[in-house]
Amino acid sequence: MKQIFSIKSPIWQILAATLLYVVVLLITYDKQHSPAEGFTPARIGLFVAAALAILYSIIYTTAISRYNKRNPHDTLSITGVKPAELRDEDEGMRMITARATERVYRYHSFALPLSMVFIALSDASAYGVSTILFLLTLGHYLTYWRGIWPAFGEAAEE
Amino acid sequence: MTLNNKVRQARTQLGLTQSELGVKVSVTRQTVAFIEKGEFAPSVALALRLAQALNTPINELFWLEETAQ
Repeated sequence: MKQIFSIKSPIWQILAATLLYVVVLLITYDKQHSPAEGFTPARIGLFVAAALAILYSIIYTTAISRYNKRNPHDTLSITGVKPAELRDEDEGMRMITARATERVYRYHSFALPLSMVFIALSDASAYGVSTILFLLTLGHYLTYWRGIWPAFGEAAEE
Repeated sequence: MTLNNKVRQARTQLGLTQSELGVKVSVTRQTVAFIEKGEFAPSVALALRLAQALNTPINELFWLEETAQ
């Protein structure tokens, strides 16, 4: 369990993507079905999502700060462009990251064209396109996670 | 050709854990585990550091073996 919520685990990105997906669905629903003013279920949902986003930011920032205190030679940046889940502490971890990113590349090489064809043929609505993009994102992180799993799996000291 | 090694044997002879060896050669414990399992071929520099840390000649620590074609 501790490994799953490690700061270098893609679970953080999966949670953020899920939250974003919910927000996009609520905004889409609000634009299409809600009156211009007043509290609607969609707007209340957006307030809850905003509160969850603030909570997520506090937890994630705290987790990064704690990691940086424990690993002063391998610090992570909250605002940087390098994703925290990329493992590059040494050449062994870089090998794991290289294998995992190759898996992600292969995943996108078929998932993206398939999604484009699906959107074109199904005449997908705004909900449909958001859902496909969310599923693509989920697939991206799960594929990467599966690739870096050996680095997490090597938990026991031999 | 496959790369074989006896890193685990040399390490246990010295009574070192994977973490302790990792600290000596500046890599993570996971990387030591990958090398021992033959899942990762280390760079020349890391192989030399391992040989030094384990007091073993590099050609005794790592060797190539013919594989059936």
